[in-house]
Amino acid sequence: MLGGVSKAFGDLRVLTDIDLSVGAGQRVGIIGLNGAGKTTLFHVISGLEPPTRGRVVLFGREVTRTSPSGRAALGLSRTFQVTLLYPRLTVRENVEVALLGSTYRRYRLRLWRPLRTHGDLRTRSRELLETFGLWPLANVEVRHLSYGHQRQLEITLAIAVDPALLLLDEPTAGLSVAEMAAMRRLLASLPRHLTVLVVEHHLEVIFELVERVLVLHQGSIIMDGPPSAVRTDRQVQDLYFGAHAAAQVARQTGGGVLNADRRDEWTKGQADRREEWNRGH
Amino acid sequence: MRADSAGSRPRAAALDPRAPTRIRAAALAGLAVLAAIVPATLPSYWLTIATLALIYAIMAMGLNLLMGYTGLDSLGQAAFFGLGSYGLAILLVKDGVGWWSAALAAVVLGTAGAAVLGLIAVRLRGLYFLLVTLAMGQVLWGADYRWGTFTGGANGLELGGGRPSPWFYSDANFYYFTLGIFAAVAALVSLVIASPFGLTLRGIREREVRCQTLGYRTYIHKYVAFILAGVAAAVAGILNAAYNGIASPSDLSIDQSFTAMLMVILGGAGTMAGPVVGAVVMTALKYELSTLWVDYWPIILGVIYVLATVYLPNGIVTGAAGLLSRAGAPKRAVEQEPAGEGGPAAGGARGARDRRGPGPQWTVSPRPHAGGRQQGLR
Repeated sequence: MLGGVSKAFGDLRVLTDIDLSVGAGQRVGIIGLNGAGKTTLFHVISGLEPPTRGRVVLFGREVTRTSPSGRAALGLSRTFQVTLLYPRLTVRENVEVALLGSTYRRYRLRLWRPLRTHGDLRTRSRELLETFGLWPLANVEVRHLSYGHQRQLEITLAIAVDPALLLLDEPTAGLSVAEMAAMRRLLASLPRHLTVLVVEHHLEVIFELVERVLVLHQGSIIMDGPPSAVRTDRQVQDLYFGAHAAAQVARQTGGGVLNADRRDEWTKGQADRREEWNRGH
Repeated sequence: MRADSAGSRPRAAALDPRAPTRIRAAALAGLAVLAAIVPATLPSYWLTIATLALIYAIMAMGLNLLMGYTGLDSLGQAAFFGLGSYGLAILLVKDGVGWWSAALAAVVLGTAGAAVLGLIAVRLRGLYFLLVTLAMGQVLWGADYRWGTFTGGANGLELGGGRPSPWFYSDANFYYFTLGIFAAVAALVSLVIASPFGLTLRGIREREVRCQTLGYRTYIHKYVAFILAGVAAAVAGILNAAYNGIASPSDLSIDQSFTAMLMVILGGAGTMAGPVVGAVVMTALKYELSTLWVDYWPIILGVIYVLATVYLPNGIVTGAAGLLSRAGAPKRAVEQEPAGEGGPAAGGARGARDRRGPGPQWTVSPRPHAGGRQQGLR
């Protein structure tokens, strides 16, 4: 899928010789510290950033030079770490834009018939919203939605295009506890045939969702294996807990390495994780 | 991000979608009656203003598809307005073509012009799009002077009458003719706005990148919108030349593009009624004020622009809708609501209701109407 991909922004090398192959239907989690290159990796796969070196192959086709829309047409879909929705369109219209870009693309250049007379499209948008629990909000403009609902809609849009490969960029970032639970249910309900790549900081979310975990560190894959192996890996532990310890020191001394929302999830999940890891050893 | 765009539009989606439809129909009928009795009730001076306002409204509605719905601010509409007026004039005067064929050919010319220039323009966005469209208008304006023997140069090109048949020489009749074309264009534009294509335009306006990752080749959509705006401008140019009996260099000038843009902004970009209100207000102001202070029109134009930007950044229609909803008259506000924003949303609720039958309906009411200034914010 990715062959020797590197990406640099000027002198800053973000990805170095990434080789990665993902089989159809596989679910792969990508973890790593902030700045490890996870989002850039997604940008390279989805075509928003061209790689400095290397090739990208999707579904057996070389797409290194293919536009984002061209890759989407092949069956790639993604969400964004920062919600990238249509703020002044309603929830339903958001989904319908997604449908018009994909399953119902035959309607997208229709100027002579009102949208509401397209029964099949309307039915499908309703189904999707009902499936994802957003139907009661169908006619609310997205800018009025809570953040948790926006995250859910983000995934609804990505699913609406009926993809074969889905890239999820931090689906639970910044969610409250209740929103997190809803999101985990939503992620668990993703169709089985879908190939999923998910970047996530909440390890418990990753471990319950995927069968393979990649650890990205300073632009390289330093670990690739099943969740159980990654969980017990000394290097990963050092990385995560080492960095955490260092950050804690920095925070106490006013260095401020971690941002506020990250701090929460660390303190929250730390005890569980340590326990799990200890059990593994 | 959410905060700065909030408060500009009342939440049409939160309101009962049925009443506004009825009220909107009633308002439309009322306006139609008013428009129909203009020639009988107003002095001919105002009939001139009304006719010109309709002509400019056609151009502004087209531009609004581009500015208000696709998010592309064009300062090049004069190019297509001029292609329409000069196309008609040259075919009538130099080639002796019949009026209707000449008008049709002028529309084709304007469309072709937009199709060619659009190929370049829609690859750009933001300020670059603005500058390139501006340059396109200026190139045609310069060409008009350069080929003076062909185009009449600074004197323009007299049409020697220039209306289709003797019947049209009555100003009242020409007004009805313009009104008919205006109504047809308005119907087509509102259809486009309510269509799947219209939704994709608004999606591009909101987040082009997301559209691309969802599988859109967005430049095709922008290109079509660009052509539609060009066609509307060409139609307006043709009517203008026929009405005034001349195709003049001012048709192609930057003033013309700027006026069209200001009509859209002043009336309310991204609303169906906005450009029409803008065109009426601007045309009336232009004629009223320039009779008082001849030659000061550009200065007045500038002042209006500054005042509108500061006090009515979202336009008269949106501002009025906000005022009305604040004053506790939410249904009126929705009637003023753009078809593009309120229409599909309201349609959605209605569609859902139809399928659900008459049972209890959920209503989405994010906040009470007496939200005051912060109503968009929650």
